[in-house]
Amino acid sequence: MRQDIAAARMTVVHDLPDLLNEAGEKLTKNGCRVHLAADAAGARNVLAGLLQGEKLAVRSYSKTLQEIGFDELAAGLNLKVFRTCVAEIVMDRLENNRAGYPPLPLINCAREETGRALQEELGAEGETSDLAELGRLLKDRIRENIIGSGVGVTGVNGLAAETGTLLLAEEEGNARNVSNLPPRHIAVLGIEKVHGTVAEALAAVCSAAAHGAGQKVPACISLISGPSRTGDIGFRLVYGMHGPREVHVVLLDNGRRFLLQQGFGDMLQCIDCGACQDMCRRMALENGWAGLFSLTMKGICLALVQKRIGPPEKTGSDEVACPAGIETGRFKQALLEFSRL
Amino acid sequence: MNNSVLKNKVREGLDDEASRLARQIAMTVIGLSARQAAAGCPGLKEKVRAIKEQSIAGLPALMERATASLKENGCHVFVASTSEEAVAYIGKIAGNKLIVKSKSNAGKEIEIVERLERLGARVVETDLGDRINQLAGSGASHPLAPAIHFTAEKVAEILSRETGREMQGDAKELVKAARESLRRYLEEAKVGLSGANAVVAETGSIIITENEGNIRAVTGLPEVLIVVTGVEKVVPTLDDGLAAVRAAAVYGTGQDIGTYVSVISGPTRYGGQSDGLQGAGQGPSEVHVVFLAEGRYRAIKEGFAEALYCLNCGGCLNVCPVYAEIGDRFGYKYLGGRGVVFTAFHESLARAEEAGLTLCIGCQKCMEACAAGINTPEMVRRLRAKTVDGQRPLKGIVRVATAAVVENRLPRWLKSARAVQKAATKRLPGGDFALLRIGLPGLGLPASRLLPQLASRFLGEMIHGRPAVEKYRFKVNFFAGCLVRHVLPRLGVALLDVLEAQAIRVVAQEEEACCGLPLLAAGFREEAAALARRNVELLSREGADFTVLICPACAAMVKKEWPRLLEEEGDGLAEKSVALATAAMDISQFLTEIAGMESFRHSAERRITYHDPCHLIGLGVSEQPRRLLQAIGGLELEEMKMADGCCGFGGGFSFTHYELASRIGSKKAETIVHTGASHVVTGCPGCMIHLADSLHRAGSRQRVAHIVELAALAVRGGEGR
Repeated sequence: MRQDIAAARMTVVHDLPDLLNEAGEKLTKNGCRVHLAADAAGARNVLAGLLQGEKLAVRSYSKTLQEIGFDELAAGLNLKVFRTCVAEIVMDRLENNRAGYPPLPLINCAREETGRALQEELGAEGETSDLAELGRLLKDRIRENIIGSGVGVTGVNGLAAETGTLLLAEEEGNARNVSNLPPRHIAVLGIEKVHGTVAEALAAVCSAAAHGAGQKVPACISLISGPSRTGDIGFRLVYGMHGPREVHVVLLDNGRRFLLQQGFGDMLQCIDCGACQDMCRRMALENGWAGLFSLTMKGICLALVQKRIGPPEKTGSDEVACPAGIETGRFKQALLEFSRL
Repeated sequence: MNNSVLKNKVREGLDDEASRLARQIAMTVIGLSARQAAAGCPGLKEKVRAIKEQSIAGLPALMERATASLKENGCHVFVASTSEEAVAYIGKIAGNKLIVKSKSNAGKEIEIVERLERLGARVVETDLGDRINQLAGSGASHPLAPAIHFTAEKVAEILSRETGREMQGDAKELVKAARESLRRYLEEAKVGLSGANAVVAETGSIIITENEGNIRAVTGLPEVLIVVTGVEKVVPTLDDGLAAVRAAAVYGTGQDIGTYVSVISGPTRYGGQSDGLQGAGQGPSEVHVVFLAEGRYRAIKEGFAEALYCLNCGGCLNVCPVYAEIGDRFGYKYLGGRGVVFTAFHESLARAEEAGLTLCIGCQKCMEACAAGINTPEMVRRLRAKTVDGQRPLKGIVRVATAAVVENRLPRWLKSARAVQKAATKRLPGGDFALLRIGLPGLGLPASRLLPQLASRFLGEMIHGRPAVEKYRFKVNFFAGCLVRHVLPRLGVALLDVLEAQAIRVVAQEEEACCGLPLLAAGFREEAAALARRNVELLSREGADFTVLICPACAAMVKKEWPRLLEEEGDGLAEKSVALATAAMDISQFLTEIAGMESFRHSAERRITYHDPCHLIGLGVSEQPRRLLQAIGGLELEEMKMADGCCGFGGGFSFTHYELASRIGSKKAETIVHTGASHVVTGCPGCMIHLADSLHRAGSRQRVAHIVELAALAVRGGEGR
């Protein structure tokens, strides 16, 4: 299985421009609007345009949304954004979280800490100290906000070029509702998230879950191929029956093509499984890197290229077995290479 | 079996004009789409077939694994041996609550909506079409577009009543209103009830596909989710499940993938890894998977495992000519021939008869359109065999008649019948057909029906003493079939003319027995085997290189059924039947691929159209007849719409269900008339007879010809008919 995924990812990187073209065509054919963003500023521009007139947006947890500074953009637009991922909300309010966090198990969080985080989040409503009750209150508030929102914004775990299909994988079920209940859905993803076939995308997404959260398969995977539609009334095709009538897909470059052009496209094979998370966290701590949106070899390379972080002083001697076939040695080479720029 | 139950159902179906019109539009649009999509996915059908064969063959173990995996994921699992058990289980959870529901064939199987409502629950259908029908108290006119029989104005009426807002027939406005109204129920409901397209044993996952997004809402908003599905939906891996779901989209609706596919592997949650924070996510905190087992293991035990390969995609319904005419009256709970087969094991053989065991016309269109290539006509025939097992007097009569045919006493009877024919019928100009002087509508023989005439000289009499070809390249058997020998012997003579002109020696045996298809189709397997045995003996003794046929129904028997019927026979008969089958072919294939057409020197000036006989399509022959027609000078071929659509004959079918056969035939006649051709050419004497009747009913003067007659014209010249 590991060999299959690594081989598939190598092929994707090798064929990236063609696959992205195919993906774009299929997404458009499905009824999605496709937006290309050269960098974070470009992505923010697109989003600003799309969010004009919206009062309340809901979003799920996404490193890519962090990468482009979505929350800050929304604040600047005076748009209320409600976060719907309990794990993200709690982790964000915990003191010792600094360096970012791919797949989110709420591990090693002491009960008192999480209780406090929830009380903070709930504000006046969070008067109780009963953890279960706090959790329920937060869950209800999230649900209300999703139902009342005009636009849902998510990341994407994978995009299958074969059919123009977005894959969202999660435990909480909030991303499903965020991408289904509001009348508009905006999905933002780095271009490396593309896969060839739906089967390959699904395999990669499940493999990531297996490594990251240590389980066979995520609780909820949504495959989305366009806006909601029905032809039940006289065969007249109408969008937005139950799900969104509009789906926007923002494809973000922001240094990814640069990695490819510089001969380090293999960094883009990453499937965000978190197998290298410990090594990357150690490196981040040792080098005093803050503002990493993604604790992966890919994430560190991109952050370096985007000049969010400075060159590393220490790279350490860790070796990681990467399911997507990225060799640790190549990663360290890339760091050296990009440090020189 | 109470015959009148079925007759009434058929009558109802034929009279339900609104439903029929809507259904046929749906079938045309979706059918074409599905065909195109399937052509773009080579290998998918084979993949799905393999997955299903493997899954059903190991179903008990697979179910165990699925149950364990689902439980590991935190789901409750219940396997119901009967519908009652399933309803009781679901009732306990959802008894008097507000339930939002998405499409589910399994749900329909156990009549879950009615039963839950009797318990005091309120069930709201969330699929737009289903909801419209629910509000209007109407049945579904098509599984995928259930309310398509309502105009937009009528839908506006229905939804205006529900929402209290006056609306016009603008689809967008209506969808918006329906969305709002249903969204309120979805938010309020405590229970969601859905089906499943596949269940994955390895990962404990439910896979469901859709276009509206209501399934995502039903499985994503209420705190309790109940999934009802058949045990036959379980597959080993996630990749298998994905293949099944994609095939359902390709073969069912013509999409390369449904707009939404949800893979659900347990309740939604956060945390849970340690002592710390954990709780219910935004989706259900309680998931119940209810498996329906009733009838399934019985089907496997009785040798009908193939019936369980079905994905419920509806591909077969897109192309079934009988379903087109009578809709959901064909089948019971599950529709069409596949529904009838399932009913035999889920309920009883008697119920299957009521559901329409005799309604399958045997056209095999469903097999081509099926994502798993299920051979429903074969299973129907095997079930018919079970029904005749119990009918003593009839079996006895058939046995005696078969023996007589084997001993070649049939021609003598038919010669006597010629005298009766003269008295009972009046011949029409042209000579081929007659009308009964007194109609017998109960036997499918109304006075208006064009009936073929027994020929004044049978084929044997016509070719008696005809010299055999001296110098020849090949020696072939000509298996003529009953219609050619006794009704249209000129076709047999035409074949001899054509082949002998190509230096082929033809052996046509007087003692040829009926191929046995009418018996096999009616369920008399042993008797059909007796005829097969006799014919295989006769044909094998000539040492011929090939066997050539001009009746594809007979050809299908020779190539597919005789080897099956004689599988267990000794004395080398099984091997002989296989050898014969391998070397047997339709005349169009024989001429274009083996014999050649150098002797086609004359032209036949005609504007023609070509009808593909179902049995010839079933043998994979559709390109060769067209090549043959091209090789005949002077012919202008205008293809009709749906050239491979069934003519409606179906042999015995046209007698037991004549009105249905005529309705199907009238559609075919329409497409023929539309071409403006002077002749419709086909490769089957059975089709010829019914096409003539259908064209006559349509008031058309177009004539019917067999392709071999045109070939003979090309060889001998002359005007022909």
